[in-house]
Amino acid sequence: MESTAEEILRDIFLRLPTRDVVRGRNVSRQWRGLLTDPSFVDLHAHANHVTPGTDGAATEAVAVSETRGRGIGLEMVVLNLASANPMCMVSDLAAPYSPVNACNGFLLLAPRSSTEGGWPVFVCNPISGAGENLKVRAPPYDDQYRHMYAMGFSPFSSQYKLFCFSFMEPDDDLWASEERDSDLDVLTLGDGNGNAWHQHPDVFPCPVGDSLSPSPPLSVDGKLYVVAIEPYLMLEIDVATEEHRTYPLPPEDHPKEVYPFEMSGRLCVAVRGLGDQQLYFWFMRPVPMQSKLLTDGNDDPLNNWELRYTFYVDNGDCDELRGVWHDDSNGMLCYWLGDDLYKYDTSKKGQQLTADSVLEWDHRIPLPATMAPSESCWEEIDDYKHRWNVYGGYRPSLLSPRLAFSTTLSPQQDGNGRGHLDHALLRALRCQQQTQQQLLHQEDAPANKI
Amino acid sequence: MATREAGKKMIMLKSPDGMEFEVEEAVAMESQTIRKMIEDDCADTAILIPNINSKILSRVIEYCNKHVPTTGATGAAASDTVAPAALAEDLKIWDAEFIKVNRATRFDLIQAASYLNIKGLLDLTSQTTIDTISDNSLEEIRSFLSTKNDYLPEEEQTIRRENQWAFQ
Repeated sequence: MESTAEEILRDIFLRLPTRDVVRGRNVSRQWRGLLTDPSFVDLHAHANHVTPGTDGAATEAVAVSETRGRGIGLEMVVLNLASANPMCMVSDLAAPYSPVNACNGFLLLAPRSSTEGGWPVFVCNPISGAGENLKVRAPPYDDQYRHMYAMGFSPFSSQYKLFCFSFMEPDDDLWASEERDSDLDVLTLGDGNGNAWHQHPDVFPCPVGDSLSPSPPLSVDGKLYVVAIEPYLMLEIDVATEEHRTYPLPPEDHPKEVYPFEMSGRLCVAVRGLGDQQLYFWFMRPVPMQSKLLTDGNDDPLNNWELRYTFYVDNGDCDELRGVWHDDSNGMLCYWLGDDLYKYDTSKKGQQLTADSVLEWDHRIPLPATMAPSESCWEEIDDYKHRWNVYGGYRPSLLSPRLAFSTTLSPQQDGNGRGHLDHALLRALRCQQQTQQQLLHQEDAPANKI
Repeated sequence: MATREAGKKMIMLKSPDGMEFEVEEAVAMESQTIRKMIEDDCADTAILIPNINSKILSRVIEYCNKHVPTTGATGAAASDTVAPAALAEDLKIWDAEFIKVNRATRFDLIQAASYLNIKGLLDLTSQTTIDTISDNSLEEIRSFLSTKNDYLPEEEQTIRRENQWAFQ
């Protein structure tokens, strides 16, 4: 009967959240074996409660600290906000690398600033360990192009795709802003096609991913959303069909922060104007995909957006927005600006909300300043820079990017891609970052290595 | 339920240890497996339920009796007088009592529910096990899984640290 009991429990574990499965691995060697078995991992990762189907799975958020300095490249700590314990650490990654967005159980890392044409991107799972990352070659562009990457998931086709927007580096001597179109290349992960990019037939009428749109791209319900500030619009791409359209964003005269996030499966945008103490949360109204409209300047934004919450932020002059997210498990709407974390409980009942009433935050949590040195602090430390960001849309999963998306072109066979970056993610060291540890309130916190 | 009304079709279920249970067809058909047998006309006389001993089978029948939809002649009266919400609440309390069994019995019930394809019972028994694993400490889970901690202390510490995010 023992093997039957084991089977029953295996089925039970399939129904448990990723967190409980990971705890189960600590029970004994036998259970670790069962719960790390690739067939179990695959079944579990594709269960409806882990990877959203049409009914969605609750989303969490991860906080990522990035530390850069001379000689250390990038050191990164990924923290699960649901438990405030670190999930993994990465060190010795080249400095231009940065997290881009979280998409279900994955975190996309790509070179951010300047012109790193040809540098690969990495798909990581913060809980699956070092050897499980997937390295993907960049689409072929020369150094005059800047790139913005994004990862999206479609529950309808069960596909993960990488998107790469490319636009010409602006020339300071010219005011050729009309020429700043973006190309888009798309790659379907694990399609058995060698993870090859194909170019999207359309050209996008804005430099998508310019420094003017610092908020991370967001994948919600099979669509990928990217905010652009100039022109002021939102780009929506259907991950499965690659159809796209643009939306007017909620009205704002001098938009400074426009931050898309997911709340219980719905797309929302946090908007704040330049120097404004008021913060607006807008919910997108569902729009049928048939209305495939390219930017129509006359479109009334209020057809698309519904103002849901308005708040004051006390430190409105601060310009370091670190993240906006909604914790589906407890209904907390979170807004992290500078060293202050604001929280509002959206699950409260019996509250009559009108669009123009300004709400009180339930909590304002001052975070230790050591986490994010101010500008002056940076100067003192010279070459040392440290910052935190939060990425929503994360749903813990056991899936290994390497196993899930590997193709015939394994990184080992890919001679061209081998270089000084190769070891970066794979050879992870356990770094002992004082500042990070202070945040974590953990005395001994070396974590899972990426 | 000792006396049966005329006109209700009865089904005989037999456990491998030789016990026989006479149940209403509607009750037996809570099991999708048995429903299919009946619909396929494979159940003229008694249905032998392999792998499920009489002790477990009697509990399963007890569950089905309680959960069979009360749409019959006698059931209609009951559902007229009791509000559906109260009825559901009553069932919940009954379920909670029903599932207060030891681990071995619960596993037998899961197995039986799975074989007989009784969704409600499978959900109930599985959910209770899920809760046990979710809510308890590692030590309690070990005792529940009746598995021994065979990690070396330093090995356990390392694994625990790697997975610390999963522990509050």
